[in-house]
Amino acid sequence: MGKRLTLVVLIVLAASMLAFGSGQKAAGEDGASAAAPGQAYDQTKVAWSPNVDRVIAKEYKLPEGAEEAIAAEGTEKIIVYNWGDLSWDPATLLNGSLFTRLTNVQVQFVGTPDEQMTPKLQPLFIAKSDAVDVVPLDETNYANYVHRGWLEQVDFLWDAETMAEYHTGLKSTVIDGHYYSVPQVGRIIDILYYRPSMLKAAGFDGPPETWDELLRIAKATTVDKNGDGSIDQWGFAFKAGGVLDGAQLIKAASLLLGVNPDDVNGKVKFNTPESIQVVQMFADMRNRDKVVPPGVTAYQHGDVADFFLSGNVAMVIDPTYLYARCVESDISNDFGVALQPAARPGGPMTQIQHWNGWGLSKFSRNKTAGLIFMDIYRSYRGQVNEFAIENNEVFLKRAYEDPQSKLVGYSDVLAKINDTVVDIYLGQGEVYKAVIAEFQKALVGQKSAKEAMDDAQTRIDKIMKY
Amino acid sequence: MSRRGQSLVNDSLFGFLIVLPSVLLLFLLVLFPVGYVLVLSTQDWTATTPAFTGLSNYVKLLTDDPLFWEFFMHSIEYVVLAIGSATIVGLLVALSLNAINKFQGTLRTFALWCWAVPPVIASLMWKWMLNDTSGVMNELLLRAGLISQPIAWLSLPVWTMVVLSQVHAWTAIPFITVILLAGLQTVPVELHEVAAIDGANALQRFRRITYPLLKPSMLTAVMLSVIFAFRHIDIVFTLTKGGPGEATELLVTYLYSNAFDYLRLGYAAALSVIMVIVSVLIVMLLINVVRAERVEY
Repeated sequence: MGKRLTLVVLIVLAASMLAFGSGQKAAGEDGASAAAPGQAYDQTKVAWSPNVDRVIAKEYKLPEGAEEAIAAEGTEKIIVYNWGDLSWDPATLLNGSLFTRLTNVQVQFVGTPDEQMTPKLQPLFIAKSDAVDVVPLDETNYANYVHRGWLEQVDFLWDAETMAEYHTGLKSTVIDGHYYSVPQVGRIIDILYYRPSMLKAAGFDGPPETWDELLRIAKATTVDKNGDGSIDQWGFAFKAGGVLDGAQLIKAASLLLGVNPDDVNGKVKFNTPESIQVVQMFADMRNRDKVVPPGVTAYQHGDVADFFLSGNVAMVIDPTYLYARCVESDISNDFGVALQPAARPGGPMTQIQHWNGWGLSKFSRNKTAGLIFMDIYRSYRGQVNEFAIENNEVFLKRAYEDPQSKLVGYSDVLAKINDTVVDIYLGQGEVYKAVIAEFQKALVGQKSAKEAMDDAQTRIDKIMKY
Repeated sequence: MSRRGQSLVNDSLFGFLIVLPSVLLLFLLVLFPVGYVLVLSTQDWTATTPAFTGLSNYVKLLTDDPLFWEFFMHSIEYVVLAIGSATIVGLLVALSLNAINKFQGTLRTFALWCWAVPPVIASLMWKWMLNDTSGVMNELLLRAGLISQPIAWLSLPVWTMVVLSQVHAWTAIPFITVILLAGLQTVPVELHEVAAIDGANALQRFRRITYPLLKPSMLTAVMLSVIFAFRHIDIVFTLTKGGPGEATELLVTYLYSNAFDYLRLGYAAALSVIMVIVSVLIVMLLINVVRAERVEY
C-alpha cells in the first residue's frame, strides 16, 4: 500500500513538472513575440504627438482618438497599484478623479505596502495576468521589470522637446535607449529639519551650513537634561537601517564631496576616498562624538521622522515629506527647514531626487486608458496636484510656477536646489543591500570605514559583473 | 444506496469517487506547487525567459555562496535560542496552569492572549518597546536600576540575534503551552500520588513521571515550533531587516531578497527546497531522540 501511494505521488509530481515545463516553453515563445494576453498595443490609433503641448497645458485635454481607442478596447475600469494606503495620497485620488471625469473610466486603486509591492505584482506578471494595468515604479524595481519584459515601451510619449520640460535627472529612466515609464513624483530626499528653540538654547541662531557646523551644533544640543547620566536630547539622527535609505545616506553625502558613487566614470563605486570619508564621519558621530543615538543602525524609513516629531532630537536630515507631518504635529510652532549643510563652504550642493514613476503592464487589456492615466499624471495639472497637495516634489519644472505650488511652505528651500541626480540601473537593489550591510558593520565598529567599503565594493563588483 | 446503485458502482469505485475531490484539491494546493518549485529550482530565471540549468542553483548555493552558510548558521542560532527559551517557559507556564485549580479558564486565556496578536503587529509592538531612546524596555530597566545607560537593543552585533529570538519566543510560548498543557492532562494523577506516598519530592516526580510521559507532546510542540521558526520572517524583517551588518540575516530573509528584491526566482526556489530538506532533517533528528528515550509504565 505504501509503495503504491509513493508511486502515485511520484507520478503526480512528474505530471505537474511536465505540465509546468510545457507551459514554460509556451510562455517563452509568447515573450519572444512581445505579445500581451490581449493584442499588442497599436499606438497609431491615438494622436500622441505632439506631446509637449498636451503635457504643459494648464488644463489637460485628451489626445485625439483616445476616446475611440478606449471604447474599442472596451475599457470600463483600470486597476492601478499604489505605494501604500490611499488615505496618504489625496493627490493620487484627485488625479484619478480627473482621469475618470475625462474618460468615463473608473480607477480601482490597490494600496499596497512598499515591501509587498513586488511580491504581489511578480506572480501577476509571471502569469501574464491582466489583473493590473498601471504599476508604480522606483529605483529598486524599474530596471528589473523592464529587463524581464513586463512593461510596455512608451517611446511615443517622449521626444526631446517634451523631455526638456522635466528635470534632467529623468533621463536616467531611459533603459537601452527606450522609455518604459512616466514620472509620478521626484522627492528631494535630503533637507535639514531643525528645532530653533533647541539650537537657540545651545547658543546658535540658525541652522548649520557646513558639516563642521553640523557637528558643533550636534555636540552642543546633545544633553542630559535631568542629570541622571543618560542623554535626553540628541543633537542629530540619521537612518542607517533601511536598504534604500541607508545607501542613499552615503550617496547623498558623497555627492556633497563631488562624487556620485552610483556613477564614477560609468561604474558603481562605493569605496572612493570620498565615500570612505563619509562612512567614517557617520561612524564617528555615533561612536566617538556620541551625538546620535546608538540605535540609528536600526532606524528605518520613517523612524527618523518619528524621532524628530517626538521632540527628542535637535536636527535630522530627511525627505521633504516630513514637512507636512511637522505642520500637523505638536512641534508645528518650533521647527525649521533648510538646505542640508554643505561638506565645505561653497562646496557642491547636488541632491538626490528619489524617482517614482508609473509603468504600463505589458499584459494589460486596457492600454490606451492606462496610458492616458499615466499621461495625466505627468502633465501640468497632475504634477501641480502632487506638489501642492501632498508636497511631493515633481519633475515637470513648470509645476513649481503655479500659484498653488508657491504656497508650499518650503518652496524657498527648493528654489535653492539647482542640481539633482536620479540613478537607475539593473542590480541597484542588491548593490544597496551590500552597501548598507557593510555600512552598518562600520557603524557598530566591526570594521573600519575603509574595510567596510572595500568589502562592499568587492560584492558590488560581483553583482555588477565588473 | 439502492441495489441498482450498488450494482452500478462497486465499493472500491465508490470510495475512490468520494475521495477524488480531496485528491484533486491536494494536487492543486500541495503537489502542483511542490512540483512547480522543484522545476523552478532547476532554472535560471533572471531574464525574460527561464532557462534550464540543472542543479547549478544548488551547487552554487552549497559551494559558491558564503552568505548561504553564514545565514544558515544564523537561522540555526535563531531557532535554537527561540524555541529553546519558548519550550522552557512554555513548560513552566503549562505546569503552573495544570497545578492551579482556581480561575483556570481566566488564567489559561490570559496565558494565551499573545498568541492572538498578529505577528507583524507583535513585531511593531516590540520595535517600539525596544527603541533605544523612547522604548519602555529601557525605561523599566533604568528605573529598576538594572542598567545605567539605555541599551540599543537592535544595534548590538552579538546580542541582537538573542533579542530577536526572545521576541520570537514570546510569540511561540502560548502554542507550546497549549500542547504541553494538553499533554499534562493525560499524565495519570495516581502515579504522582503513589510516588508521593513513596517519598518522591516534586522535582523527582517531574523527572521520573511527568517528563517521560510528556515527551510525545513536547516532541509535537517543539517540532512544529521549529518548523514555524525556521520559516518565520516577520520579526527580523520588521525589527532589523537583517542588521546590524548582516548579524540577523536568516535563510528566510535571504530567500525573500532573492525572490522579490533581485527577482532570482530559480535561485530562491533552490534555497526554499534546501530549507524544506533541513526542516525534515531536524524533525527526523527530534523523532529519533525521543524514540531512543521512550519509556513505558
